[in-house]
Amino acid sequence: MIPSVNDRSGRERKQRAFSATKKTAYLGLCLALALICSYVEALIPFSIGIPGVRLGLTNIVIVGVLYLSNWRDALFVSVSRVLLAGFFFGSLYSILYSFAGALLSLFVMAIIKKTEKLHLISVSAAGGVAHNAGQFLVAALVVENYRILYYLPILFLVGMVTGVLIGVAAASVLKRLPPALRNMYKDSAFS
Amino acid sequence: MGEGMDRKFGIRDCLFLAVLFLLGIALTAAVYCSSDNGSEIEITVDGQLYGTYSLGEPQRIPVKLEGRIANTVVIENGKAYMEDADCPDQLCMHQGVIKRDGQTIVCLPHRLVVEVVGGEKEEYDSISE
Repeated sequence: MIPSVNDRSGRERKQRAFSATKKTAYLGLCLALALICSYVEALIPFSIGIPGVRLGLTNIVIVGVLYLSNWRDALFVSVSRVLLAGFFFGSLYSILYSFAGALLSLFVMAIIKKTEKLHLISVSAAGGVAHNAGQFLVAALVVENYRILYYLPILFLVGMVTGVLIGVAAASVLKRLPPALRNMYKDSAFS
Repeated sequence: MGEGMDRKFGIRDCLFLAVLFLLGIALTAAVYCSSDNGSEIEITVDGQLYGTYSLGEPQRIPVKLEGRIANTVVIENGKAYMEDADCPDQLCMHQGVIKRDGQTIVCLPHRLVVEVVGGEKEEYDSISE
């Protein structure tokens, strides 16, 4: 009896190690995807004359991880992405702005998702607004000029619009994800 | 885990987005109403002050860049707008009329900024700078 128990716990341990590897690979993949989104966004000058207005393509990945896995993994991907993208394509200030936006956005999205009352698109829209609000707060602290207040309403509305667009995109992506990827977090002890 | 994405987009979401949108509109109104009319405009080219003009007197200001008249700013009824620009996109001409403190017209190709200054909160700004 005793050897068989040992045998089983050994197998469990192996399985756990395997799923940890799987998770590392999976989150690495998501991080790479998020970085590519950042890169694409750095390439396309999607600018309407207002600093800080961007599409937020990366949020497709973050929302995806948030829905497929949990907020901890989404936080990991988000923070790593902000740091790496900042060093690759940005500056120290852009890291600061991105951090505030990314953290506040993820915080709001995780809370709204947790209520389980709203669709992904609404969650993403709230996240878009929160993202711009976070960036605005940092900008207000850095610039110390009351005139920056004029940007707030625009950033609010733009954040909502881009959030909805990103939400629609993320929902379509998740729907079309192959089952193997989509259920990755469901089948094993993956957390 | 992962079930959330099968949710249907329902009436609750419509309400949520509507409320969010109204909040944005309210914010716009609040910020817009709280701003004062400015007293003059400042034109800067490439970060350097080109000139300051009073919004009180109607005038037509030709802005010369590299020897030619690149932009024409017009002041009328205490409001300023870009009447003419020889840049290819001419976005600045579509940015409308400005009169409130802090409002700007930006012409990116010429790196030209027209900004309204001289509202009542101006002292605060000079302290913070």
